[in-house]
Amino acid sequence: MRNAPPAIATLALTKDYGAHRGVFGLDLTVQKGEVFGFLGPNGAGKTTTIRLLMGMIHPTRGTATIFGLDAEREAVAVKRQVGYVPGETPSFGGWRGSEIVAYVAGLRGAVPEAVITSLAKRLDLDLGRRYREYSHGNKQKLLLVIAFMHRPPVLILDEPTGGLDPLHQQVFYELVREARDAGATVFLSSHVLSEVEHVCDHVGIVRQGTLATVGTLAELIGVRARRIEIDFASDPPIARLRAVPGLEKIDVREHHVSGILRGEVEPLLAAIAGQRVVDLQSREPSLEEIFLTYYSGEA
Amino acid sequence: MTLLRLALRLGRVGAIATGLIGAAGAIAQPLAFAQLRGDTPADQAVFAQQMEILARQLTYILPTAHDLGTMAGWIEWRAIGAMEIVAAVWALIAATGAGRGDEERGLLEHWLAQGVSRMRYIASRIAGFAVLGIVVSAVTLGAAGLGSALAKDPLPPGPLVLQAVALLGLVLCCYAIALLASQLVITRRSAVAVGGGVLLALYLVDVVARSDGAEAIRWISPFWLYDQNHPLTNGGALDVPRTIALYASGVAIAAAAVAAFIGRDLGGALLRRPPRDARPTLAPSRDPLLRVPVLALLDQQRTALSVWALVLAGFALFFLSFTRTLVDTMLATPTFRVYLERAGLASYTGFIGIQWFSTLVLLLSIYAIVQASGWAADDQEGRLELIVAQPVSRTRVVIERLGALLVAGAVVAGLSSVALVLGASVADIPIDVQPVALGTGLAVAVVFAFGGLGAAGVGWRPRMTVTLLGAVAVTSYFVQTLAPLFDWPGWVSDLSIYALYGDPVSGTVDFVRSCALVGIGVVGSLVALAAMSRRDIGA
Repeated sequence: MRNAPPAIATLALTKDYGAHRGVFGLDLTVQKGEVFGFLGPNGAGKTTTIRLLMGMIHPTRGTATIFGLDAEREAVAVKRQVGYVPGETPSFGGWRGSEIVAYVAGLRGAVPEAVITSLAKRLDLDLGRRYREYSHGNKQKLLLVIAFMHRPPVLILDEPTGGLDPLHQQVFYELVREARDAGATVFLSSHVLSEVEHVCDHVGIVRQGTLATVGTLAELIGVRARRIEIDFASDPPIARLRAVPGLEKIDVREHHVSGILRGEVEPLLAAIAGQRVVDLQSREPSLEEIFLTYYSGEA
Repeated sequence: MTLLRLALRLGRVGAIATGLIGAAGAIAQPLAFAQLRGDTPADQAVFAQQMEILARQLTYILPTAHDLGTMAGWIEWRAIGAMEIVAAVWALIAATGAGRGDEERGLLEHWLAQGVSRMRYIASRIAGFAVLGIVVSAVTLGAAGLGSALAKDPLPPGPLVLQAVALLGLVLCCYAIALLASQLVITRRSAVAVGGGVLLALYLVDVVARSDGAEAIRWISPFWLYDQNHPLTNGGALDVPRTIALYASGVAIAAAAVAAFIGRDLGGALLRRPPRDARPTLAPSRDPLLRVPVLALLDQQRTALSVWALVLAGFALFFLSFTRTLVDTMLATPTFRVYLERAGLASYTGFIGIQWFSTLVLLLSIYAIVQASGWAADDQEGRLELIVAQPVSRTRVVIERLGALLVAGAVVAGLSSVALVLGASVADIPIDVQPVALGTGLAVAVVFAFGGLGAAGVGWRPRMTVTLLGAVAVTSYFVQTLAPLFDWPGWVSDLSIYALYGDPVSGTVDFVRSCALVGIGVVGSLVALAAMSRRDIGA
């Protein structure tokens, strides 16, 4: 029996805009049922990757597939499987929200009205208002209704919570969890790290158009590094600390030392032996710290 | 100065277009006058008399004529008189752009956030338009001077300057009125409707006043105040009190607009609608057309489509209302008769077939160009990305767009032709329905040609495509119109794309040229399909 293809896969995916802009050689696999967070600052290549997955732009090299379907050559079949929130809210002028939803539902076909009504109710979105009267958050809610309304097996969401208030961000997280529980795959780009921590199982970090790292949250946070904070009663043994293998980003402020430790703890304990330690904390670094580590060029 | 430069930059396209129209008319009319007035004093007297009669029939589009036997009188009536409507339309578009358009696009919020005061912003926009108004007025009257010199009957510069002063007053007053109207509503579209409605009403007051009516209220019309100036003609002069009144009313209305602009909320209007029902709508629209391919696109533009259809139908009726008088008058003038016979206009059917249908295909071409501009906006404003994110092929997007354009073109052209036939019946002008139907069908082919070219170009260079197609349409129209007047060789008139349309109503249909017209549409559509499948969307 053949294995089912991954929900999303890219192979050496490249879009070269010149001047080192674009994405380069992206190899990525997202399995069915995963919620994948795609992290990166502005201009890192998140939206370009998403537009390649959606077949909006053509790759310079490489391929992107959704359930084994080529995103470029089988674009229509791909989009039957996908719900999409673009990175920029489109403009619909004087249309009413209800007309936009009906029009897009007409393009898609077979969208249950009850789902639309339920989504609008949960997101507290009045579809009777004209699009130009919507706030930025309400425009984003409308895009979420359009993305989720046909219960797609794959959701590709480009910074989907932009403009949403905290209350409706929670509703969005619920929608993502419900979709995952129903077996859907979610590919979510963001530069809001707490959002990714909230809902994602796997995380990829993109830097200057290349994938810096990818793994589960546990892999990224729990196993590979620990945040160390030590308060000494007197001057810390800086030379010995700098010699500890795997201790990075050492920051000394009077008697306080902090850093990220990759690897064994024993060399660190040996290094501080004989010193009077007032306090010692070892914890998993936040995703933000991991993220900043990758962007400081020390990854 | 930055804001003033921005105002000049934002208004340059409208100013160039208005200046070109004004200059083209102001150069062409003196040359036409020199050709048409006749060689002998007797011929010239007959010409002047006939034109006086004609002018009395056309007071709803041109001012009352004076001294039509002279170059000055002709220029004042045909060249500068026709600029009233053009200048008012330009002022309307510019004022609603400054008063609402920038706000809709978020530019105003950006400027205010940078610390620019509202007063400084709106004052710079008004000042920018005033500068452009001075340039356009000077270019138009300068062109009239040039045209009269080329026709070897030069006008003195002094009266031309005075006429430019009066024209500037009218332009600024119309701008102020439209700017004030823009403060009353939320959207630019509404501002155009309200401002245009007010300007139209004031213009109609002047139309009535031209026939000695509306005595009690005619002073409220800036068009009437402008019409009282005759600095070009013998014995005429600039009406100083009324010109001062024109400027003073413009300043007062502009001041009211500025006060309203400063006092109102950003994105809000002075006039507010009552709050709507507080119960939210949670269900999608039940409009069945929104779910049907092609019809969904037509449904989205139903208001604009209705306006186009009604305006063109009304325009057809308006054209029929003066056709009989115009043709009779011109045929009674020997020099005009020569021109009419050369141009194939020496019968009612010929006049309608050539004059009306050449105008119709020009307007339909503009409709197609406007649609192409809308397709470009779909991409730039993110709508195309959302549409293509649904299970819809790019091929379908192109075909649907062209399909909707053809259906809309057929509706607009069809309704105008129905109005034309009905109007002809009322005016007792015999006209065969079959050639009118044929001409209407071929007019849709013109829409297809422009639509195909537009679809091919908008994905590549949207602004350039729209500008280029507009230039092709307008140039083709003028080449076709002016060629018989100046007896240009056949190859020159064949440069017009409308030469492919020909004269299907009063002449014969050239099958090869008709096929070429359709062929342009087909090739444009194929290029559009290829371009759409290859291009990046949203990048």
